[in-house]
Order: sequence, then structure tokens, then C-alpha cells
Amino acid sequence: MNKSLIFILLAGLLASCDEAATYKKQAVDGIQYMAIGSDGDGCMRYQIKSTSQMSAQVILYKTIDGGYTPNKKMSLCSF
Amino acid sequence: MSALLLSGCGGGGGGGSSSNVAPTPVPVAADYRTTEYNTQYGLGKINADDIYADGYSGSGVVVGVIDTGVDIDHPDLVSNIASGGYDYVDTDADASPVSQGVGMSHGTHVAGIIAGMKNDVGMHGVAYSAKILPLRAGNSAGSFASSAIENSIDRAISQNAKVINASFGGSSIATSLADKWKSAHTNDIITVHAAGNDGGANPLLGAQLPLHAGYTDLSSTLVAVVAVDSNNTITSYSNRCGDAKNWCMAAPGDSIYSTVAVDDSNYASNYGTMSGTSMADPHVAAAAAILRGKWPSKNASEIVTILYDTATDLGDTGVDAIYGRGLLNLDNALFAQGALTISVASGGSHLLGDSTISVASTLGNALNGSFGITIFDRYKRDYAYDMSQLVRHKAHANIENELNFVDNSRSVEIDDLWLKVNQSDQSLKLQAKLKGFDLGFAHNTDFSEVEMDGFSSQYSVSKNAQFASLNSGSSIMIGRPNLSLGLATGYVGVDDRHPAKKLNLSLKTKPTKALSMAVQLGHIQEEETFLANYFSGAYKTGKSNTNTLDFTIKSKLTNDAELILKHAQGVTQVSSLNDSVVSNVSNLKSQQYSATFMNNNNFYKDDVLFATMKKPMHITQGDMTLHMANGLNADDSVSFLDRVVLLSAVDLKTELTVGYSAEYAKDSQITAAYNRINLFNTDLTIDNQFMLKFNQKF
Repeated sequence: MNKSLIFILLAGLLASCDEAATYKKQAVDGIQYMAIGSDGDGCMRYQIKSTSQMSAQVILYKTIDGGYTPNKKMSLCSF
Repeated sequence: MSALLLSGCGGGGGGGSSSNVAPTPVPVAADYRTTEYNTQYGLGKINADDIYADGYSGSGVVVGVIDTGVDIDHPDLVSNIASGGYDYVDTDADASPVSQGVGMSHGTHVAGIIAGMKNDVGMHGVAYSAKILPLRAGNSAGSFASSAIENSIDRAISQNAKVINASFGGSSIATSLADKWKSAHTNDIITVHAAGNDGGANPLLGAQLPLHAGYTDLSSTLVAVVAVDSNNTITSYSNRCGDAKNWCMAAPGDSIYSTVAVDDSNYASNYGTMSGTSMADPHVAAAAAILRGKWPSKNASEIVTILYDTATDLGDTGVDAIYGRGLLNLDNALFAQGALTISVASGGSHLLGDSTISVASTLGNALNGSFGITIFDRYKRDYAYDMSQLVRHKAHANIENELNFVDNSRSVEIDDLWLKVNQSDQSLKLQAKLKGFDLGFAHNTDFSEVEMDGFSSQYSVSKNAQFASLNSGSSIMIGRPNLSLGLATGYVGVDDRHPAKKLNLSLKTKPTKALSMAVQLGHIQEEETFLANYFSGAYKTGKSNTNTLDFTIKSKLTNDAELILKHAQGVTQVSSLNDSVVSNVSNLKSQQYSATFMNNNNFYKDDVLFATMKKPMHITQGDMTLHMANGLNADDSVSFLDRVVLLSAVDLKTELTVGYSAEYAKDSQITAAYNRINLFNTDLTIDNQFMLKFNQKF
């Protein structure tokens, strides 16, 4: 098993186990990403939040590189 | 006496015009369930296919999409981008997204849900003929500055957007932004707000704005939208309608397939799936656009009310704190609601169900042509309707009635008193001679048809020769043998329910032994019909008066053969009513004629051969003017136009009856007859009937 695969599996495990965290924050230009629970596949969903601005009301998923995407097929849980 | 009757009807030939041009197929909902329709499952969930079949898809309406930019060159959007968009993030006229990020395609996705092009590629939007006004107020990270939103609202107003889609929200809102939303309301714009993805009991603050003092009026034009999944169940992440339930509804928002920015690294193609109340929101915005396109005179509040009233109830019965008004139902929203009415110029209206046109033979097929009228539903929305659906034809007389065998009558004659009773129609006729005068009383029949010596009493093959044959009435007659005066009251119309009076003066003469002639002058007054045609409700006409002149000539050609010629004509004046679509009826000229030949003792003693050619009573000249609604003006008032409709029966064919009757055995008689008649209710169809009849006296 190569290192990449191990990393993917670990990241996927982490992503599916953080339901207890109400907020999963990542500071990117003041934007925060709030975990709002898993979908039917066990894939954690996030919502963009900003304390000072309004935000798009679209569901995001985590990517393999720790970022976020609205495209579940490109997300970590699709690997 | 008993009678055995066999009759049959043959399908008609002849009549009418034909064309080799194939009719254009009428679109049906299934035609619109294409691959690109099915790719975006939300379209099916809101029943969009039915309204596409009806021709509605948002044409002429601009929807402001305040978002993270719209890829205006996207091949599935490019033709539906309105001019005048703006980028308030980078402050330039290019409203396309400019950098990678989670929100890069958000606006493009929303725009595709609203107005993705219908081009058999990818998917298409709910309102695929509407135009998107792209207003970039959010950056590619999905964050929206209040000032950019405010500027976008101003531009949407100045660019005449009728709907604004706001697939964003937050936990606070600046007063300046709240005032801009109020400005949109004041400018008659529907604003549609995503409820938010927090899974909370209430929507985000923007969607709650009407709860706050100073903004309560916005509840009539601001719509909050929650997201349901493909099973019409609220998604776990969607905020509920909560305190905003009265201005909140549900739409599909989970895993919605739509356009994405062409160079977005989040997607491998020009299309992709997103979830959220951001995706539910544009379904409602597009639906509002379609309604506004169909009924531009309706204001924002009226359109929003229709969306609410026609939504499919979900959750608890009625308005509830989860789904609010229920699931968007586009087909139901476009469908006529409540009682349907026909408007009249006086300002009133009549129920469509109360408005019928009962056509007697005098109008023939004059109203068989299909032409549209405008009707209105409970929201005063105009709909096209085929007036011919209001037309009711009297079932045409079958051959038995046409020949009118007088089998069931009994007559008694004592000195100068003559009594005749007919069981079948419960009619009674009493005549007496008193000091040289003929006196008569009749019930359920009358004396209006000239009866002449020698005229066969067995067959009334020229039935309907007289004007407005009265039924269920009474008549009296007084006169000398050659001159009589009759007065009758009774009922006319397809349903024999409409009162009429008739006055006749008949003059008979017999210049030679073989020739008899009669002239009859008549006046008919009908209370609510004209020539037995009854227009009700929105088409109601007033009293009519008809003056008639009938000629009858009977010539005995040989001892066994006789020829009877009849001709009748009349002029009718019809009064119109203020609260009717029928604003004027010209003087109507009408006529009827027939020729009957009868020959006795052909093959057996007392057998009869008979033949009649008849042109039924029909209007030959005249028209009516319909002052009819044809839509809504810009100020939502009803517009009217005049349409002149010819009332003369078109291309009326001559009817033919031939037959033979003979004694079969003692006290029994057999009759065979063939009858070819017009069937007005099938537009100039000729119907062929054959009858075989056997009578036996016991």
C-alpha cells in the first residue's frame, strides 16, 4: 500500500469522524467553514460562514488537500 | 296498436371541406421530458413539463442574479444573458467569475437553474426563455459584501428586473441593505431568498426581514425558500420556514445538476452538481419569472400569492413551520384557479358554466367554427378558450320524429265537434263549428301549421316548416273555413324551456278542384331566445320579434298523386343587453322551403310512395357583434375588441326523405323510409338513416 493511499484513507477517516465538531474553522480571507453534519454516505458537509459578510448558501465538501469544494465528486469522500 | 321499429344510422359522407395539409401536432407534456429535462430532476418535481407544453417558459422577463458572477459565455447560458450586468466586486462591466474558489461557479449554477438554455445540450433552466441579469456581489470564496449587494439591487431595479434571486444570507444585515430590499419591494420586484443551510428552525436574517418593524410590507413580495430532497423531504441542512412560514415555501435543492463556470477547477466539465438552499431558491425565482412573463400586468404581490396558493402542501396540513406554504408546483401555478368567468364591457362578469349557446336548426352550423374567447380565473388571469365549447346543439330529429307518424292519436267527431288526443306527446286538439265559425283549442300543439283539405294527415314530412314551433303550450283559433286567426303561447329552444307567443292569420283558397293555396302571416315574440336559439350568461340576448310569411300550395296532379310546395320566410329583430358580450344583432332574415310528392295506389290499394326535399328553416342573412374580452391591459384592466360573427348557416345541404308504405295484412301496415339529413353538431356531416316500421291494430 503506497503512502498516498494511506494518506487518503486517514484523511477520509478524519473527515467522517468530526461530526462532533460544531465548527470546523479554516481562516481563509475571514471565511469560516461550519460542519453541518454528514450526508447519507457519511460524507461531512460544510457551510460557508462569515462574521462580517453574507455567504453563498451552498453545501461544501472537503477536498483531499484540505480545501473545500461544492462538487462532491471531487471531494475527499469520493476517493 | 303496437309498432315495431327498426332504424339505423349510417355514417355520413359529403359535406365540409377537406385539406391535405396535416394539422400541426399539439405539444404535450411528454414532448418536453427530454434528456436535458430529466438531467435536472428538480424540473420534474415542480411539474414544469406541463407548462412548457402550454407555451410558458419566462419569455420577456429579466431575473437579477445577485451572486458570485455568472459565466456569461457558457454555451448553455450565453443566449439568455441580459445586457446591463455588472461586477460590483471588481467594479467593472464583466460579471463573470474571475478566480478559482468554492464560490466560483455558484452564480453560474444558480443562473443555469433559472434560465439554462433549452438546446438539447446538458440541462435547461426552469424558465429557459427568461433572461439573466448577472450582478456580481460575491467573490469566488462565496462571501458577499453588503455594499455590493446594495449596488446590485439598485441595478436590478434600473434594468427592469422583475425578480431577484438571492442565494446567500447571513446572521446579520445592515440597515442600508434592508432598505434596499425594501426599495426592490417598492419597485414591484419579487425577491427570493435562500433560507440558509444551518439546519435551524428559522431562515437566515434576510429571509426574516418582514418580521421586523418597518419591513413588514415585504412579506407580500419576499419569498424564503427551504430545500427538499428528491423525496420532497426537508434536507437535514436546510433551515426551516419557522417564523417566516407565511412567506416561505419549499423547492428541490439537493444534488441539483446545472451549469458551472467553464474553467472552474472544481468541475471536470461545464456542468456539475451542487446542493443547498442556494439551489432551491432559483427554482422559485424562475417560477415567479414564468408567471410574470405570462401575466405582466400582475404585480409582484399577486404573483407571489399565486405561488403560495398553488403550492403542494407538505408536512402538517396547511401552512407549517417546516415547509411554510408547501412545495412549489409550477403546473398548478399556471393552471386556472377557482371559478372561471367571462367579462363584459359593462364591468361585470358571468360564470363560464352559466354561459351556453343552445343552437336550434335555424343557426345551423354558423357557430361551429372554432374561435377563441378570453376567460378569467379567480386571480383575474386571462386564458384562451374555444367558444365552440359553449355551443350546444339540439339532438337532430331522428327519422321517426322527422316523419312524425301520428300513430298514437285518437280522434272523435260528433256532428260539428272534433276532438283529437295524442298519447305520445300528451297533446289535445279540440275543434268545433259554431254558427259558421271554426273554433279551436289546443294544448301541447297548435294550429299554426296550415292544414288543408286533402293534405295527407298521415305524414307530416314538412314538419318544422313553421317558424319557432311551440311546445308545451296552448293555442286558440277562431275563423271561417278560409280565414282563421290563431294565438299561441308555449316554449321554444333546444330545451323547450323558453317562453314565446305567436299570432297567426291564415287565408286559404281553393281556386280549382285540384289546387289549394294558403298564406299565413305571423308574428312571434320570444322572451329570451331568437328563432329558438338560446344564448345564456355572458352571451344572453333580450327579446326578439319575428314577422313571418308562409305560402303553401297543394296541387292534385292526378287522382292519386299530389304535390305540396311550402315556402316560409321571416325577419327577426333581436334586442341586446348591457351586461352581455353580444352587443348587437342585426336584423336576421330566414327562410325554409320544401317540396313533397305523394302518390297513392302504386302497387296495392292505398299504398303510398312519398318523397320530400327540404331546406330546413335557417338564417340566410345577419350577424351579431361580440364585444369580447381579449386579454389584460398593462394596468390590469380587461381589454375588449369587437368581433362580427355571421349567423347565416353555412353551406346548408338539402335534406331528402323517400319512403313507401303499404297495408301488410288486415289492420297492419309496413313502412320503409330513407332519410338523409344534416347533422349540425358535427359540422356539415350528412347522416343517413333507414327505418322499417310495422304497425298492427288490435
